[in-house]
Amino acid sequence: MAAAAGLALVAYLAAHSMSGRRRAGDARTESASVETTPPSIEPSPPKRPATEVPPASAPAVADPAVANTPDAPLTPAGAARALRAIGKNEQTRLLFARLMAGGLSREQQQRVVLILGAEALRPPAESPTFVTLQADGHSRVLSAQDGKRVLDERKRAQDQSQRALGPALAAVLTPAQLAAAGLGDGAKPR
Amino acid sequence: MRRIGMSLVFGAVLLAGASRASAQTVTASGTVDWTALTGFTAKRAKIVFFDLATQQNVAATLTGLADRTAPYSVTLTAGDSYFVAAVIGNCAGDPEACGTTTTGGTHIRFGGLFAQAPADGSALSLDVVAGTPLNPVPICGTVTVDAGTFVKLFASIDNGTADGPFAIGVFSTALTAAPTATYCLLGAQLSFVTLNETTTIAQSQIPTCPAQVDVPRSDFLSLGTDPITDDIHIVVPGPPGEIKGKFAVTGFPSGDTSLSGSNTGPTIGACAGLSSFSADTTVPPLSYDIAPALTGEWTLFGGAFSGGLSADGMFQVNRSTTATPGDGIFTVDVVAGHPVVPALSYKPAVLSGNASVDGRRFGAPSGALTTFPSFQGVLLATSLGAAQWNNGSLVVLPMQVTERYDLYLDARGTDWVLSTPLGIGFQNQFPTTNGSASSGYSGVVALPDVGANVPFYEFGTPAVLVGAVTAGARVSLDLPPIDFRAASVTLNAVDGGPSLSWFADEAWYPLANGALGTSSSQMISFSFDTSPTVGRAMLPPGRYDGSTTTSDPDFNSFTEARSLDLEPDDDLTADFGAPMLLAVRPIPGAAGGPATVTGKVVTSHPTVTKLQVFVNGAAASVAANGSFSASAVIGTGPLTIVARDSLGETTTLKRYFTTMTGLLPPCQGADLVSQNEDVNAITNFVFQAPLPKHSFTVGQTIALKLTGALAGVPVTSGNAAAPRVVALVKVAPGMTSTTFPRPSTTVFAFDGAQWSANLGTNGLQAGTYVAQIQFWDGRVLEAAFVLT
Repeated sequence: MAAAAGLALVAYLAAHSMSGRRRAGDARTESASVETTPPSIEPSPPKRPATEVPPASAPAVADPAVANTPDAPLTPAGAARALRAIGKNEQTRLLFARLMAGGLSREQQQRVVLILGAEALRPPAESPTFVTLQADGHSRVLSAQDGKRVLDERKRAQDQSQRALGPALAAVLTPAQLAAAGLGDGAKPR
Repeated sequence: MRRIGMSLVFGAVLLAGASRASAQTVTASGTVDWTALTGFTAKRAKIVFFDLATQQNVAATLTGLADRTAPYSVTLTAGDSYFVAAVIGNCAGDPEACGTTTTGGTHIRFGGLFAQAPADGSALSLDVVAGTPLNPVPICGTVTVDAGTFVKLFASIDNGTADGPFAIGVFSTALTAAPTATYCLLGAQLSFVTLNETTTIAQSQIPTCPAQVDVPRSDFLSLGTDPITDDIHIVVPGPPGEIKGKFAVTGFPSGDTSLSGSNTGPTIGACAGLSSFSADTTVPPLSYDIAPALTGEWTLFGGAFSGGLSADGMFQVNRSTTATPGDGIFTVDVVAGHPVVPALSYKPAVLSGNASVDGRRFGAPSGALTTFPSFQGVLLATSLGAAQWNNGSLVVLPMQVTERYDLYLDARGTDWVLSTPLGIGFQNQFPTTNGSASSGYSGVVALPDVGANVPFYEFGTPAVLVGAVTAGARVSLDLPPIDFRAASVTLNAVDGGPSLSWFADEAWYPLANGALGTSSSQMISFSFDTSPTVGRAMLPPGRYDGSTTTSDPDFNSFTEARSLDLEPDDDLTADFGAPMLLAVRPIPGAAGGPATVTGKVVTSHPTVTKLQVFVNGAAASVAANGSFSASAVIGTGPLTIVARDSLGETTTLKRYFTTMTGLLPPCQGADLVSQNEDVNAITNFVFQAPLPKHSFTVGQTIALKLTGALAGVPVTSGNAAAPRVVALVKVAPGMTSTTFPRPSTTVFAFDGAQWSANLGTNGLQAGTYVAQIQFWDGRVLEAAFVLT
């Protein structure tokens, strides 16, 4: 009974959300409806065009045996997709494993999945030198100086990425949990 | 059996709450698929479920591997959480043992799914699929030995990830023994790896070395999509030589003078002669004698180091300098029987100047300024950092700091670059009802133009070319102050979306003689309930070419290009997908009165058919290329520009043109700073807040005086609404602040020269207070004072 109620709530929340202001995904299908004026726009620099992550292979339907909670930030399908993203990104995968090992409440788990899932959508923090070297797609042996620079820059980029997550994780986890996951002062604002 | 992804079920259970039902079991089954790994032939394979609760593996061996897919079935504990990965190996036996120190070959771990077996014991299906990024590329080479005989080789790939339960990647080793003298390893395409080798050779040329000796070596590889050859060539060196001499850096502050050197050329170990050396002294010159020194090319780093307090005592400052002839690498050739005496000593040129930070309008950072910018002298050709000036703060810093940097440059080096490996950076946190909203930026520095040379980014670091210097000369190069008024940015997520993030790298903002650089910046926001997610950031002015990512509750994610072109104090709000406003003119500092407002409106949204721009409510003309133009009056209120696309998404830019100065006597010293900046500074030890020279007594009426200007023309009661004190905040270090709303009568009056208000303090307790003042254009600044 409780499970059915939870599922119903998920469905209600989804419908409620759809009935309000247009969602981004919908905008792409509605846009040709009213305007007839010829395009008068200049495309922005194509650094990263608008993209939509392909739907995860898991069906976007909740397991009917599992209840939802009213304030969960993600639907069950959303949480599943976030977990997939976390698992595919080395930094978030290892961080999530450390956090889970420390023991999280249900609410903390929900929020950590959202935070790390969103982080996993970013390209991994990477050394600018390595990115430059990779531009032509060819393999090469590096000098010791370049190799050490890549390692240093990568470490710095990863530290910076972790620091940026600090405020969000600190809003969810206790200082002891952060410390147990090896975040410690790194999660504090700087 | 329900056909439902196990990771989906884990997500569902996370939302519902985990519950262990250890008595029940779950049958999980599915397919492992590595058809994307065309560069790998698996001989053994298995799937591993790592139980997060028990830390035990549940594994199943896979069979029928020829078509790179295999079914599996395992029994799990109901309710337990697992990390799921498949392992395939190209040698016989346990695939996890393949590609280790004992068994040469390669194993690839893929999958990386967090999954939870449902507590009700129902069966599940889960497919594990390998992605193209793990498709390996061969790393092969030959092994040759000069003046010796090859015996065996152990080589391994370090991909930066320790092999273990949560690892994903390609793990490869090679064990080769004579007469075979070739090796092959595998590494993930488009990755950076270290190739570690230990070659065992037999030799009789060096009597001081064993007849059979292990020779270690490491190479760094950048792997693309094509195979790579890395031959291993071991040379048994000849008799050793000698390097000796004296070294000093004339004119460098007292400290340590040091020399280190290394020979990365052929060696079979220290038994064949020293391949590295280091020595230092506090009493230069440093005398050194490296013997026996391995023959061949030595790289020498002769330099000096000095540490101490800055003149104001606020920083620990460290300086270093390194001998750098030509392009920066000092090398000597060592041959047996002829001692080498390198010409290392030098008298450096001193590049120095003032660097300052004025953080009064940085927009209420939440964390302290712990480091001042650091500086480095870099040689352009080799990117070798050969002179450093860096620091660490010893105290909570005031908002205004000026230090004098100095870099000691070897004049023999050509094309010196002033580089800034560490700029300043802050995070801002914003109140949310149930979530998190923060932003940050780092690597902020201000660099001058040097002649025709303008600042640029070198590997992500702001830098400017200085050129050649003369031995013993002093070169003065003051830096523009890091003094900006932060812009406020608000980005709205998609409706109902629980997350929003925006990131950008390498922004520049032009200064009168140089540029302000911001190496990286970001905003990250989450909503933990159904309330809207709003991203907020305080950023230095500049042109940022970044991107926004947001997701909906189903974690469908959406990404857009989002460039920001920010002037000081700009206040910009944009919906996800809304048009971007770029190069908007005029900018702060422009004269008041009629003006032509211009700019460019662009969109990254592919289905937008029309863009409109409104300037202070009036429609602007928009050209086909997005350029817009409109007439408006620049005054004491904000200039408001709204861009709207045919989908109804909107971007609003408010630009402010007036500047405020104060507080004036009798509160001089209580500088007007960004809203909440004093509050954060005092409460969280972010800065020392600027305070009046003298405190006031409880009950005393405090005269608050200030001025405003629009391009130098005073703001008066004739052209602007009066400022007013909107709140008093009582603050103390480490304590929660208390806000007292002020009555509407605390309004400033213009006396013909300045704005004044009398602030009553009856009924207040002794302590430190921050007066928050709202101005004619809606902005709020604040100033602190002490009541005794």
